[in-house]
Amino acid sequence: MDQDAVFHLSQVSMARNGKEILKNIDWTVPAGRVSIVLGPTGSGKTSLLRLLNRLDDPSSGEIRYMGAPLSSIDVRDLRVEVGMVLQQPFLFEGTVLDNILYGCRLHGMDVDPAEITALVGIDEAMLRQDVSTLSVGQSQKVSIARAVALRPRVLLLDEPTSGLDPTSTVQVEELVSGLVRALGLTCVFVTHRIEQARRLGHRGILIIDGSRVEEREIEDMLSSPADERTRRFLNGELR
Amino acid sequence: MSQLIASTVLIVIAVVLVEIKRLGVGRDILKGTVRSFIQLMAVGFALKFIFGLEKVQYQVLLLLVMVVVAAYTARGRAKSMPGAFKVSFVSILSGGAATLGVMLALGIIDASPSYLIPLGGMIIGNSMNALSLSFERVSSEVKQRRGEVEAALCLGASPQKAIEPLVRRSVKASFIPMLNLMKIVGIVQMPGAMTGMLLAGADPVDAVRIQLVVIYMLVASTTITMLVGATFTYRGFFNRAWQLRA
Ligand SMILES: Nc1ncnc2c1ncn2[C@@H]1O[C@H](COP(=O)(O)OP(=O)(O)O)[C@@H](O)[C@H]1O
Ligand SMILES: [Mg+2]
Repeated sequence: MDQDAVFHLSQVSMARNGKEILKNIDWTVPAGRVSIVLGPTGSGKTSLLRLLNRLDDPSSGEIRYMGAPLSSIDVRDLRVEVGMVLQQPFLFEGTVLDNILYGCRLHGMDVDPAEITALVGIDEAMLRQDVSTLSVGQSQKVSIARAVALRPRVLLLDEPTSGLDPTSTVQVEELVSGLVRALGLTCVFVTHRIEQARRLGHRGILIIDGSRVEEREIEDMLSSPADERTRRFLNGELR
Repeated sequence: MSQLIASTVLIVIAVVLVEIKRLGVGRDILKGTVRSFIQLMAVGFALKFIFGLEKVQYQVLLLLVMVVVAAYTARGRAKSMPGAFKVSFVSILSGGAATLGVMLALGIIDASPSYLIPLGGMIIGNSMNALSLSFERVSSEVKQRRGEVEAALCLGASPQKAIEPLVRRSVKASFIPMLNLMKIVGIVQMPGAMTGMLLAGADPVDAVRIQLVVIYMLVASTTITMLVGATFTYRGFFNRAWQLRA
């Protein structure tokens, strides 16, 4: 097994209400880089991501985190180490500061809010602002900040730019790349946008209908699709 | 008894009116009349029998049966919430036991059936309603706000912590009927205990005094029931891996 692997999935399947949502996924997530999960809407990307911090469990197969079976790790410890940013920010009532400190207060960790705002590119003056006054883009940044405040080893991002305008989208992409560089974060980035995958990722997997269709360098995947389904996805026939 | 027989004239009036207007509910009214007569008479005789049993154990037993029925009813209204019966039973029991306990200890009431049974019944009934209401709200809040709960779980929050704001909102909302009642009591609505005492010929000020005791008692028991309920409410929505159930 790969020494640098943060996650290692073998033959992972998941069914809900008798429907197979993920089918026999094999995948290795390397440390310290952005890994992309690409695929059309409804292909199972979110379902796959949710397995990695145990918001859900697979029906069969095995997931290892840092070499240990996921189910053998204390859920709380796992979720502190493996942060997740949901597709919609879902901020807690209160101020930006309340949100950034939420996890740290919970776990008795010390954190300097100014450091986090600097890291994530939030104006420090915004800390006192009530979250109900934020734009979608700002909210998404706060939800990234609140995950980063726990100093996670891994950050899972589920289409974090889906509700954002082009400018904020680029900002968030640059933020993610920056965090990976600055903190040595391992990042799993889910997207259905081919261009975004190209801008962000080194390696990634393509999921279609719950199956892994490709797993290699994004650039190669896009320039020389090895599978008929990949070609159809790239042609925009699958949405 | 002659009073009762004479009052059936009222039913006759209602049925005649309904028949003239051809509303088709005359039969139902008659059935309901007979049914309520039998039910209430049976309860009356049962209470007479129970009031005759001096032993406090029997009263406690009867109150426990009432708690079980109330918990069962509350559970029925919270089908989507697993474990609702246990939660209801424990919380209604705590609210009732604590409140009646304080009233007994302070000598506000004594351990006689004519106090324990009706007051216990009121406590249990009110707690049940408040609890059902808050269950319904928590269930629908969780359904609508999975994202908020999971955002907290993602930061390593325990289920209890993750669901806390939802439970707090629900419990707060469930207090509203009680607070409203306290605002309008005696002005818009004559509460049951007071009405009953006035009918039985009690002094109005005495009737008011008892009614106030009843209201204070219900405030305390409802509060305790809801808070105990809230402490356990989160459990059924999660599994052991701190995952929100589907
Ligand atoms: N809890 C669930 N119960 C039943 N079906 C689900 C559930 N969650 C997701 N699905 C289905 O699984 C498929 C994959 O969903 P999802 O992982 O959200 O896809 P993506 O994130 O790629 O858009 C979809 O067809 C969706 O309808
Ligand atoms: Mg998705």
